Amino acid sequence: MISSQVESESANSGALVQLQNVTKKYGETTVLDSLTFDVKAGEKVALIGPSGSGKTTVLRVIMGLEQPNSGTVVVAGDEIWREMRSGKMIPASERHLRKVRQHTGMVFQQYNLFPHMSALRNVAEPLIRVKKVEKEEAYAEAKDLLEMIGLSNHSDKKPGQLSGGQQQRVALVRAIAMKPKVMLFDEVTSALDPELVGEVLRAIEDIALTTQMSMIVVTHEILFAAHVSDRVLMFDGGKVIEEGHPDDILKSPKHERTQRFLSRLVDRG
Amino acid sequence: MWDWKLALETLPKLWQGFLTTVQVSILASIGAVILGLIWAVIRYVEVPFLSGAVSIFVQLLRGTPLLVQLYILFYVVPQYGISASAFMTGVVGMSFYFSSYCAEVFRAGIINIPKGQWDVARALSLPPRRVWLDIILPQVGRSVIPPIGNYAIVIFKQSALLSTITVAELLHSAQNIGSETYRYVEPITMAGLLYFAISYPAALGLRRLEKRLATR
Repeated sequence: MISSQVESESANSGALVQLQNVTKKYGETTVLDSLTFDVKAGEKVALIGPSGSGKTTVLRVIMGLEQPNSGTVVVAGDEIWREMRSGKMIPASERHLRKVRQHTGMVFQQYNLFPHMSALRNVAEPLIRVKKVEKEEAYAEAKDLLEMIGLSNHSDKKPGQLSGGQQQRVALVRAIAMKPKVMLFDEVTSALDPELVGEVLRAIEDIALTTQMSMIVVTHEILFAAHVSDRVLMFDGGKVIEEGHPDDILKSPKHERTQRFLSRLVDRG
Repeated sequence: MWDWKLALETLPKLWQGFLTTVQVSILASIGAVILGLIWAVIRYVEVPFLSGAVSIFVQLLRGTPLLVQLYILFYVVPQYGISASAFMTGVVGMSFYFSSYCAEVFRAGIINIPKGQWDVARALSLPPRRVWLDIILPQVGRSVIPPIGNYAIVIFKQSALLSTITVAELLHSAQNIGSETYRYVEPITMAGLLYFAISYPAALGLRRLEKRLATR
């Protein structure tokens, strides 16, 4: 259910994800400040910026986990936070959210695997319960996906028996199994030991290269962001202060805060 | 003077009462767990009128003595038309009283589920029933076994109070033997030993279970 204004805009820009004037406040603090940007179908976008700039909040708003105070969020033609009921737009019900959230998949910094289920069941369970896939088929699909990321030998292990990198990769295929149109990545390597980061980034890269899904990647791994994305957005103070092609942004940032942010990362080496 | 022969003779006479104690304890424990879980979920989900009512009810259950609640159920409630056997009254009374404590345990268990579990359950669009039954409660269950097991042992011991509302459980049987033979020492001591013979190994077993759950 979308308003006619948003409909015409999406017809114009072909955008899969559209945010318009999205504001989110926590008490006195403004985390998202009248934010407007969009992501086209098949586009891979990286969000970079300092902590507290609102990057995680933006993902949560798109995913339908955090309700904005104002503004419009549209994914695949469906407005997330409002629904049409008897001809009027009203705040979204839980049922509406459950429906529209299916357009989007998310991988979290803390993996959030179900600790009491095997890796295989972690992936299969949502397919069975939400997509109503037959149990056998769901498990077969889950097995294939785990094989794709090289974890078929670990499919019966519980998350507690897997390394952080392995857990994150399971979380990755669990989200992908639902075949979302947009994948959101919230600093998915920030909680990992350095030697495990590579395997996860490689898995994400594989997905980026082989699927038509749009991706929004929030990360501190700037080189990775540049490598995998079509466009980089620099966030600060809840707004996009600069955006452009990875090469342009990273080699010759125009905005002063972008320059400062990137130079600090380089110094850290 | 302690009479060993009498003491050993009372054991078989206490057996029926002991069985009743065990039955009452098991039923009341199950009742307390089920009710406690219901109270905890209702309060957590924050249903407009219901959650507040449940909160107040649970406070009342926790804030008044078990014995008083048993008396009310056994002596007062029947005057309004609802009556049941002493046994059932005992089970109901203990279930409700201890459900208030179990509710607190479940509440803590639910709150301690990492927020990320809720996030990912919502992100995957899992229906609410599935979230509770497949994701949240199984995790709550593991963390909650030690305190709930503890309350089961407490229920077993507190079941002695049911003797005051004429339930023919262990203590009641011991008192009967005493009033028949005019010797109370032996039957009550043997009854006490029977309580201990169950509750102490149970407590040890629970501690071992707790250790095993903590390391996995």
